[in-house]
Amino acid sequence: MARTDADFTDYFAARAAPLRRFAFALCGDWHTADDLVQATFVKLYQHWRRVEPESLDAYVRRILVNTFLSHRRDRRRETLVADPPDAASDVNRDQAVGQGVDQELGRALQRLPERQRAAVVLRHLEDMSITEVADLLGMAEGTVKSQTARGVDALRRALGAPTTMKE
Amino acid sequence: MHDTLVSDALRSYVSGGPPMTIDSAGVLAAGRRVRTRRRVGVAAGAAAGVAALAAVSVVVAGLLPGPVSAPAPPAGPGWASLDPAPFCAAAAAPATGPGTAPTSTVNEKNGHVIESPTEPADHAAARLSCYLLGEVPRRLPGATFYRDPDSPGGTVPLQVYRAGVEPSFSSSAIVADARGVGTIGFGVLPAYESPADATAGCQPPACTVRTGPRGEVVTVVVAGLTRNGQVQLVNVRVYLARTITFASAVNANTAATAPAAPGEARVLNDLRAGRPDLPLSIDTLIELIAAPALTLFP
Repeated sequence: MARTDADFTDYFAARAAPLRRFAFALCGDWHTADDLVQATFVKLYQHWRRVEPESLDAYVRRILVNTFLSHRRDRRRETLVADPPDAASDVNRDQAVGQGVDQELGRALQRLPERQRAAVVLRHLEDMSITEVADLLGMAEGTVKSQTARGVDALRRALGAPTTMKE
Repeated sequence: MHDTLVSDALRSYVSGGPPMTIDSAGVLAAGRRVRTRRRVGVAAGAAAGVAALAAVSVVVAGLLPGPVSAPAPPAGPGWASLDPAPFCAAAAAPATGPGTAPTSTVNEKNGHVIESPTEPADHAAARLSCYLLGEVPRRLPGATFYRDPDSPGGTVPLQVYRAGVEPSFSSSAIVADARGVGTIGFGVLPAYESPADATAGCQPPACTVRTGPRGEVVTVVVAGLTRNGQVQLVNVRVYLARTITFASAVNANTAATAPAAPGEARVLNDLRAGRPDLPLSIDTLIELIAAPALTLFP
């Protein structure tokens, strides 16, 4: 049965928040994360009636990663909320941005090369297997392992932990 | 081997965050717009053929959002000039309203001590209005100013008012001139983070750090696209001593687009460009809000 716009709305409600966290891990900025999620869902909508249900989550994650990588390539600006007059919300936003955030980890993550960062996030935040990450990023499995290991080492250094863990 | 330490740290890193600025209705509407544009483009291309590509491009381009078509004039009365005199007179008079005891709070996020100004809010608002109503129109010759409907009733464009429960102040206006229509806004807040934290948290490409005219730390966030016809937004913060000043400019009439829900901020993608460029340049915004007159601790 063809999926409807109501189904799309339901899927957005269920998946937007986790995808936003995933996007934030990739880009390090909540507004850019919103932009990435919006772009992802707009692209998804173009194919909404044709994507197989069982591959939907993987498909969406692939769109988001590709959007992130191309977003960085052409250095387009992120979409922000136009909130010029509201200083109060400006304070709230800035206060909220850092809540619960390990700034050192965030900085270390953002210093990783983009594809390496994507591999680390897919592997350790999204709990994807090496095979799945390799398929999504178009890398050899060995490359995923080595890239992820390097990235994890960098993050562990930022966390002040010994860098002995390997993939 | 899976690294639990890193996984846990990543989960902590992505927890929280400000409220999401997009919703399903906005995404659905954007998706439909893209689909419609694609269908129009495909149909036009198929009918006209390759030889007529240039002509088709014009037709399709004419359907895209942008300032090519004249923007609707802002609603309500316009002010061809703004008079700062009443506010300057009020600011020059002794402060008589209830002041605030010198207090400070600690920002839970970063440990920064936020000092509360002691100046009565009405007096501060008049003092800040005196500055902005005098200085901003000078940099926008020929512009007409319209009230931002989100500002309190009875205020004039750019008049400063107290915003929220914090001792912070806001001001905004819709601006129309020969270039089109845009929106500008200003904020003055007790410093809630140090310049060093602001610098560390300002990461390219969206955010860049600059230096103000007196050596102040300045952060500039640019959003949107710089291509002609696209909505652009810039948010500038200047870190004065104990005060953070904020300025924003967007090349769209923000009041012409309703927020997705009452009280929610508007999403940039939903705005329609009202002019090809920002009403005030980034350099001008920095110059305006780096002024010592905007301190909360005169």
